[in-house]
Order: sequence, then C-alpha cells, then structure tokens
Amino acid sequence: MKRVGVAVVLLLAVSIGCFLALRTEKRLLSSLLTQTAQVEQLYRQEYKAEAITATEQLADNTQSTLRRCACLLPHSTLTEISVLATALPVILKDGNQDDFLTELSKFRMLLTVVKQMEYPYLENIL
Amino acid sequence: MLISALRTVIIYVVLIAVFRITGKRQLGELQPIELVVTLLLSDLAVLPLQESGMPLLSGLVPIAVLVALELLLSAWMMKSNGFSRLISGNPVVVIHEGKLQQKALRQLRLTVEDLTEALRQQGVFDWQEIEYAIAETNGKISVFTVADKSEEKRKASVPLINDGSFITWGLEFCGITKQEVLTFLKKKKCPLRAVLLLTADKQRRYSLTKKEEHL
Repeated sequence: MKRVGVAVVLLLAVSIGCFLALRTEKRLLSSLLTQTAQVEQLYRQEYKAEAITATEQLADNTQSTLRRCACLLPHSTLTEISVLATALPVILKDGNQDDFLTELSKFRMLLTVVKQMEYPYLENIL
Repeated sequence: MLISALRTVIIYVVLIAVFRITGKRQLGELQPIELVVTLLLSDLAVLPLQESGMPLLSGLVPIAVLVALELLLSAWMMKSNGFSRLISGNPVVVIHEGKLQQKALRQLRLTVEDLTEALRQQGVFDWQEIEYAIAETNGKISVFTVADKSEEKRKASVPLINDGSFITWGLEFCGITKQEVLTFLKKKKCPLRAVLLLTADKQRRYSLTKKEEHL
C-alpha cells in the first residue's frame, strides 16, 4: 500500500506539474504575443520612436520569459526566438524597414508554435 | 561540460531512487511489464544526458510516470490474478511425466534445442531424469527431476489456488476438478476467499495456507 501511495503521489505531482507548466507557458507567451501585436500596430501607424522603445522592451521581456521557460521547452527553439528578439530593435533602427515586418512575423509564428507545442492536441501527441 | 556532469549526477540519483521504489523484483528475473519499464527507463535516462539542449524535466517526468504506472500495475496484479495472468501469462508445462509436450512447445515457439539449452543451464543433462519441466512467466524453465527415482520424491506439488482464485493450469496438471478442491476446503472449513495458497500433487495430497486474517 505504501508503494501505491508513492505512485499516486507521483502521478498527482506530474499532473499538477503539467497543469502549472502549461498555464505558465500560456500566460508568458500570450503576454509576448500581445506585445508583438502592439509593436506591429505602432510600426504600421508610423510611430517609429515608440515602436523602437516597444521593440526593445519586447526583446528584454523575451529574454526574461525564455529564461523562465528554459526548464520546460527545448533550448534550441528558445535560442532561435531569443536571437530574433534581439535582432528586432536593431533592424528597426538601422536596417531595411520591410525586413522588420518579416522578422516580426517570424518571431510571432515561432511564439505561436511554441505556445501550442505542449497542448494535448492529437497532432501534438501523435 | 559542467551541465552534463550535473545532469548525470541527478539522473544517477533518480535511477537509484527509482529502483529502490520499484523494489527488488526489478533487479531479478523480469516479468514482461518490468522488462518494458526497464528498457524504457534506460533510454529515457540517457536522452537528457546526451542532449544538453533538452530540458532535464523532459527525461524526469516520463521516468516518474513510468515508475507510478509500474507501481500501480504491480499492485493491481497482486490484487487480481486475472489481470496478473493477462499481463504475465501462465506457466506452461513443457515436460509432463517425462514426456515432451509438443503442443506446448509450439505454443511457446520454443525449439527442442532451446529447451535442451535451458535444461543444461539448470544443470540437467540427462532427459531421463526429468519428470516435469515448466516454462515460467519470466521465461525461465523450472525442472523437477527424479534423480533417485524413489516414490517419495516423485511428487511434484503445484498451486491450485492463489489468493482465493483457482489456477487453471495447476488443476489440469494434477487432474483435479474445482469441485474436488471445494469439497476439500469444505472439509477444512475454509472458504475459498480465505485461501492464500493451496498446493497439491497428483496423489491429491493437499497443502493449505490460509490468509493471516483468517487464521
């Protein structure tokens, strides 16, 4: 009976852990996606100075969010997102303006993929 | 490098804990369910060690789930003989009263060569010595020999009831019906559910062990 107790505790711990991890990931990544949408809106409305500030803030927030997700998600994907986030303010300041939207949509797409990666959808399980 | 070293220490400690929790059965002869868990555990433990880009939790969570499932299934197998038989199967008599059971061998997909090898590993080199050989659920062959041929030694007793449930192969082995067993239990004033183990040989010599709570 003691071992059954251990098994139940383990399963409960794993279930709670999975639930909390999923909720944390969803919250953190949703917040980044919202910020991404705000940056795009500012850029399209041609508020360049505000867009640069927002992009820098997005890059900082991405780094801190990814550090918190490092124990839950594959590091290679997180590195890819991190590199993109760091490049965004630089492109906006000095680079081709068209590249900015391309990189921003790549960044958003990666965040969306990572956000949905852990959901118990059939395509994820299979 | 440091990360790999730290991860190795963590996985090492976790695996030691896992084998302590799952018990000594995991270290001895493996039943199918335990073999599956052991194979999966060894692979899962290596993954986060080889790939530093993978979170350690990706290896630890499946290990925890496997351990929990193994503990729950083994507890269920202890409670239910039917489930235990479904998972581990039944022992199969391959030599009965010195005669090779060809149907049983075919059923087990065991060649005579395989059987001979298994018997040699049990220290039996002379087929004439063998009275019974049973293929156990863990794949081992148990042999009952009649080296001295004395009548007293020629009685192999097998289980008929285990934890209140009839063992069909044991009944068939001894040629005893359930009704006969129930009559014996009635004489002993012991209900079926109170039986922990009842063994018998072909001469219908019973040996009864009651559950502690019914003593």
